[in-house]
Amino acid sequence: MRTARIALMPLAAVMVAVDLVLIFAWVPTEQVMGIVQRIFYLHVPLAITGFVAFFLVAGASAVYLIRKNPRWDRLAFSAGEVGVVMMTLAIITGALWAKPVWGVWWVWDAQLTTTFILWVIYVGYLMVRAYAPTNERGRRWAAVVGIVGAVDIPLIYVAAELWRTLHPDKVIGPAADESSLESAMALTLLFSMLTFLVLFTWLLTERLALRRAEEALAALRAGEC
Amino acid sequence: MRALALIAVLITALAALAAAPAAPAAKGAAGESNLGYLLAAFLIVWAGLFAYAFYMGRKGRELEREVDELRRGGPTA
Repeated sequence: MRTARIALMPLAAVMVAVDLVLIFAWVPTEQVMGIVQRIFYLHVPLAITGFVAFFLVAGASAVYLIRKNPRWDRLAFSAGEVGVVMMTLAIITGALWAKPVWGVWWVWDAQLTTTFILWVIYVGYLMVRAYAPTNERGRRWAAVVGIVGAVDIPLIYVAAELWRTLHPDKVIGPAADESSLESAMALTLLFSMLTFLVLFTWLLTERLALRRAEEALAALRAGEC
Repeated sequence: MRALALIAVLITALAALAAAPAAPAAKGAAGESNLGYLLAAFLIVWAGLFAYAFYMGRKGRELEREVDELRRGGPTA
């Protein structure tokens, strides 16, 4: 794990540098939205990484409830916290894109509202742990919230089909239109997604190490009392 | 970690400034430039990620020190 942590940071740094060069020096400017469309190369990967994190929370939480092994709870908690950071940044970058393009920072349409609900659920996931009467209960309650919350992720993806939405059409996944992106844009988006997944993995390994240290300290303190 | 943030912020600022003249569509309907929104988005993301990584690094060092002190039976303040 320590080797992975050490190797991931320089890899993430190089990928971030290459990604920024691709975004600002290589990919063409979109004709309708102009330069502000480049926010899309941050916003989409941040949102996708957030979804990956929350799916990880749900999976690890389910395994924790079955096996009661704290290792899975540690993974779920760490993924949840990093996921909330990623999703917060996705929402902020979405608002910064929406203001010049739509003329408003936010609209309560289907896709944005379900995304906001997802963010609230996982902020709640972190709060449940903090305010539970015992650590054990906090872990169990949070696991349930983590599993139930992930149901919202596919709902966000299909929100545009189920309800009317202002959000742009999908550019990735099974519901995406294959011709919706020019090849340089598609390649840059793909590289951005890889970059953010590497960044997420690095942050996750760091958070896991920190969580282990927190638990070790709590155990030592409990032994002292 | 600091190198990562520095690279990201520097390249973002330089590249966005370099890209601005080559982007005629950057002007909105009201004739306002959208470069500010673009720069704000990139700076908020990299500053946010850097702050989070910095917080984890600092807290990790503090916890390691506390764990070492407890194991040695010393003070934990």
